[in-house]
Amino acid sequence: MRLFRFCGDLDCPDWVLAEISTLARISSVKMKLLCVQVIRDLFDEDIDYDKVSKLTSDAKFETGDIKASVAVLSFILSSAAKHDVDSESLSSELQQLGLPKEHTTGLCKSYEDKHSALQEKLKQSSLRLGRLEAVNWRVDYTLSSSELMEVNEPIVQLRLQAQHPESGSTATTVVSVTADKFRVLLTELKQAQAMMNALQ
Amino acid sequence: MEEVDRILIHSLRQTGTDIDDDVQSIKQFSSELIVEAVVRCLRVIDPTLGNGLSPSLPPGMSARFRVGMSLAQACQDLGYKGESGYQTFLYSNEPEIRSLLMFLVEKLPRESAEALDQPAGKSALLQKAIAAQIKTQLALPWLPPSCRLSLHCKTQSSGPCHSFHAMQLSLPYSLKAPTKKQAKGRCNFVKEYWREYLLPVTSQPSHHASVPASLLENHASELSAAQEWESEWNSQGLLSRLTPEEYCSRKRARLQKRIEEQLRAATQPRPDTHSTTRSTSDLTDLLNSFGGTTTGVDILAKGTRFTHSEKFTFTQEPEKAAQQMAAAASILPSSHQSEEDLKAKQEVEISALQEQLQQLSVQMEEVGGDIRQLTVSIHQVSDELKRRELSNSEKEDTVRVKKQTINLLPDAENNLVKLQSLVEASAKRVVYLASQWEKHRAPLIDEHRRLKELCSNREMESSRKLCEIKDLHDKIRQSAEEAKKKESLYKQLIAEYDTLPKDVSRSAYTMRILEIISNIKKQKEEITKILSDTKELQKEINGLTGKLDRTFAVTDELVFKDAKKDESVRKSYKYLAALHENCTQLIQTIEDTGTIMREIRDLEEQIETEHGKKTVSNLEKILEDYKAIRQENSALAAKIREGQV
Amino acid sequence: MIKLLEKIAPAHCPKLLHRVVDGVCGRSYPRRMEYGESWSLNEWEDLMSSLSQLFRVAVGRKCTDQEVQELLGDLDAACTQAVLQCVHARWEEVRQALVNRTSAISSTQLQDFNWQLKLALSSDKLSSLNTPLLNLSLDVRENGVQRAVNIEMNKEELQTLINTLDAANKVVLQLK
Repeated sequence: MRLFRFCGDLDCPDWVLAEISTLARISSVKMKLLCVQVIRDLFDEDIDYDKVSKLTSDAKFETGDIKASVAVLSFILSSAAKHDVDSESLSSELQQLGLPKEHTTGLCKSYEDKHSALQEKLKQSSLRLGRLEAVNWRVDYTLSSSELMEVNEPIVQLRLQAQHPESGSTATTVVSVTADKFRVLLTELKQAQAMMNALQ
Repeated sequence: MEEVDRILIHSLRQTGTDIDDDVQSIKQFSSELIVEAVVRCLRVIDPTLGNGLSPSLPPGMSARFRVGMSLAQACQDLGYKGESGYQTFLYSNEPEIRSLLMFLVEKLPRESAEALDQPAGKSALLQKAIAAQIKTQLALPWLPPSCRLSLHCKTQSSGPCHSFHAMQLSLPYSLKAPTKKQAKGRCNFVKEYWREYLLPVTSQPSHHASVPASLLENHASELSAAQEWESEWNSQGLLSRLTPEEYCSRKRARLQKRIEEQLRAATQPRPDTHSTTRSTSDLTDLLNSFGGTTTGVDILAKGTRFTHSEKFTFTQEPEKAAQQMAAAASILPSSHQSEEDLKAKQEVEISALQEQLQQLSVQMEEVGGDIRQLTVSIHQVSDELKRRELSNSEKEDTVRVKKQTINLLPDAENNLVKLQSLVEASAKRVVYLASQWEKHRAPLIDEHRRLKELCSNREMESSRKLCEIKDLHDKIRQSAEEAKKKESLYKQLIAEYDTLPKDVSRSAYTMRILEIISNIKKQKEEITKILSDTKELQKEINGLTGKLDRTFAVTDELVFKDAKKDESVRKSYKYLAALHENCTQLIQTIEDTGTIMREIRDLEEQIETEHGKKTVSNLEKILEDYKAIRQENSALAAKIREGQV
Repeated sequence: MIKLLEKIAPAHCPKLLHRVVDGVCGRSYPRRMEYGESWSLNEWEDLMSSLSQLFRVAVGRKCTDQEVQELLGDLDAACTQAVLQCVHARWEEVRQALVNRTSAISSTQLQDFNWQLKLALSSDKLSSLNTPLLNLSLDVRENGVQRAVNIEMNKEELQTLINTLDAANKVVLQLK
């Protein structure tokens, strides 16, 4: 079995092979427009199903065929972006799979146009174990307390709003940090940032 | 020659040729070895050329002949300028082989150099290191947490193995040691504590696992505090031109003042606040109703149960308020009469008191009005009084002057003169005093100016020094950074140097090259010396020959002239001619000898090179091979005839 | 009852007192095993609590020597001297511990924090991610219960956090 780069150096799934022949039934121009719609879907914009059904009506696609062609285009484009395949290799591999040349050219053109934007979108939708949404702070000055008569120390209140990794909802944490701890926290975060920048 | 041979052999070994260790020079290369070396080189240089050729010589003579021809062709294709044919490989001689092998070795691509020029970019290195680590980790089997050894814990558990829990540590000479004046007495106690009772840092935390965490935290805390203080001092502290302690105390005093002001403003009773909810206003009302004390600023306010974080507590207030409350409480009536009587009595009292109150208020109003009127008139009268007094004093002055003039009138002229002299004298006095004043004023003004200049100079000096200090700080920082960079560079270079291959010693080569260069220089010097000597000799010879010719010509003429007359002179002329001829012949013979000796040397050299070519052995080999080829041919012809038949 | 302190020799007093101060500062109190013969269990508990209370009050209210002696009551002179010396020697540390206790009065306090820098190599959406991520885990103590808060940040979020904390730091510097 041949290994394909756009499948991540693995075999091409059988259903993709099957549906490529379905794709070949519509004209290349219509397929290019279909690509545009599928790309919109990949960017989480609304896909216009009426347009899609109009495009495929000439070739008399049934609903199953429409779904299959949308799925296969979606797979090809996202998989190619995932494995950072350049459009020439994609074009040659698709032709090896049996997609006619005009269709391949159209698909690869759409791919090349949106290649980096698609990769950026995939990067952003990759798994994150929570993210930091907002930080608010307040600095208080403690004058005195029942423990110690003359305190005269600042203390920092932090409100951190972070997205919980499992539930996806925002969890708010309010902590108070002594001045010493705060200073150490800031220094350590700056060190971590320096290390992070050195990685690039 | 040995170096060249060694380098060649080394490079050939690197191409894969199997050269025995005792083969030290090209002279010892056999034909098979030569063929193998050349084929392997060709394979490396150009795989298409080399793959068709086999490194070992086939046994058959014709096959050998063919191999030799193809090798020669391949070398010609590569661009070898010298002549090459099957004879260079089968019947080799040393210089030809050496030049051919040097040509091939030079053609070898410098792949070893390229292999070292791999991208040393940091991200590529990191990726490689990550890949290597993942590979080693995948090689180990995964163990469930309870079976894991400690060396697996780091790589197989998902997060950090120990939680980070830091405790406060007590270190001697830390930044938090008491340095204030009031703690001078404490210093001795502290030092005794450090000496006798302070536990070592590793046994201070209660869990051994928190020792590294506590140490890290402690260190980070002190380091960041020191850095923060330094940056603050360098930016603002130096500008304020105070000592560090003064700067700190001034800052603290300013902070205290600010807080006091803000608290004062916050505790002022404001008319627009909702007094029902705030406990301060409740207390204010309470205090007001029990005696009308001025509330003003000093109010005891209780915020939350534990912290007085917003309100400032003045310590006198608890006692004062308590006293007031006690006083107010004692005023309250504590009678135990029956309720009704009490009520009736109270009502009567109330009405009486109210009447009284009304009367008193009316009276108070009247009295108030009177008071106001009287105060107004008082003001008027006092103004009038002041005016009158003023005019009075003026009039008194005029009266006095007139009186004096009247007194002086009888003796008018004398008095006039006296007055005039007085006036002059006083004028003179004024002038004198003014000059005195000037005299005093001038040096003082100079002094003032001088001191001002001194002051401004000093300010300029101090600002200049501040700039210098800042520059020095910057320089220090820069040098520290540079030193750090250089150290890291040094470490990097050492690591690179360690990874470089050490099989070929470059230093030996470079030293040899330098030696050769110096040798050549010396030889060049010697050659130039010899050339100059030769030139001189030649010049001398020419000179002498010329001199000889001239002398002979002169002598010849002289003697010839005299030879016509005298017999002995004719004989001497004949002797002279013979002498000249013999000497010429002698010189010629010497020259010929020299030429012949040079020819002998050349011929000897040629003989040596020819000896090196092993021509005799090659010829024998060729004869044998020729015989072998003839046998093969006849054998093949016989086979063909058999086959045909 | 601080009077119990007289049960051991005055030479051993300072060591015990310093260990008690260690306990007040958040480390471990002296071990009963070392002093098992001198006091019973109840006496030991009593002594520990009254000594800790004494130190806290002495430093908390900035008591002079006179006031400390009054607090000690009728303790004998050698022990009183030892207590006074200990109070003076460990003043700053006890004060720092009281400041920490003050800040712990609020509802949630940051006990410790830890961070990890990770490099996300690849994901199911993109095969070569190469994004560095910082995982900050805060140990927060809330009403006596310890819990961990984990926040993962990429470069921009970390930058935002650092900027915000820098602004707070500027204010804190003015108040120190």
